Amino acid sequence: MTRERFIEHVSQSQESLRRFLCVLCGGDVSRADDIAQEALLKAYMSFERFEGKAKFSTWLFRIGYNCFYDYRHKSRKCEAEPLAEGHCADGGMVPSGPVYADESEEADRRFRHQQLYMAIEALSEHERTVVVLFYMEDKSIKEIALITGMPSGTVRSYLSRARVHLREYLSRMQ
Amino acid sequence: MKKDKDIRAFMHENREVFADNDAFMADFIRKMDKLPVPASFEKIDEGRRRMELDVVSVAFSSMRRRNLRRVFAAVSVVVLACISVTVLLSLNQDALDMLSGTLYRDAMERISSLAPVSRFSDSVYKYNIYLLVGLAAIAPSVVASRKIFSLK
Repeated sequence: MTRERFIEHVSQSQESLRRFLCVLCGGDVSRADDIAQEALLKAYMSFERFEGKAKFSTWLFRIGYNCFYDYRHKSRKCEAEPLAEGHCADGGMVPSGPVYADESEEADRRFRHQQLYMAIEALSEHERTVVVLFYMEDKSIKEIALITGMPSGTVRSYLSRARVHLREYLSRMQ
Repeated sequence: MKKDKDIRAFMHENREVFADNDAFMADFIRKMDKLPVPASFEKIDEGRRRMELDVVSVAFSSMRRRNLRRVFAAVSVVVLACISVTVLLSLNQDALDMLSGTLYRDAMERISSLAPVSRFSDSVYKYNIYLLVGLAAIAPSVVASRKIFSLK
């Protein structure tokens, strides 16, 4: 694949990836974009590891998912031992909080999507991930298993539980 | 009871829509340009490479043929010029005798002043002058064609 083709593939998948990471980040678009940028750059630098057995978007999502958990692990580690603002015990930088260019715009955006976040709020982390990938991003069970690293059976189990909750929520909405 | 399609419709209706995709991509490409190009992107498709080499090869062959034609034309012009001059002079025998004789005498005087030279038949020396003049005229074309052929 040439560099131009890589950029073309990224262009087709980036919105979906950003949307997925935005849900994982609880609606924080800025943080989701930072993680998405990091994931895409990692994909660029490690492209030789892409074997082509799965779809390119699946591979990107896998990297994005791992980047999200790396970020979360780092932020939890720094929350446990706060030294100074912006610094971690091991000398690393704490991911800074969301910087909103326009607070009111961000509040409006959250309000528009609050139905979604309320619907998935009660789900566990893994259930949320599976539901978003399956229903929002239209990924198959096999692709979700590749992205999350979970066995297909586990994915189905989480999906089944989440489906029950979502059906109840949507029924209550009406 | 809500079905899967209802859940999917709900998710699609309430999902994020980004209006800044172009800005995001521009930012990504800017960061990408600062990084070294990974080795996996430097591999050139073999088929395309062969095609490009073929194009260059055809262009080179065409240039070479054109240069050969030019050299041939230049040499032909010189040879034709020499032949024409000789023919014209031979039509005027007196002028030819005078010219060749003059050139012969001058040449022999110069040569004999430098070193003793045994005298051959006058006619041999006489027509050697024409050979030398012809070679002197063709020499620049030969030198030029060598330069062209040496360009690979």
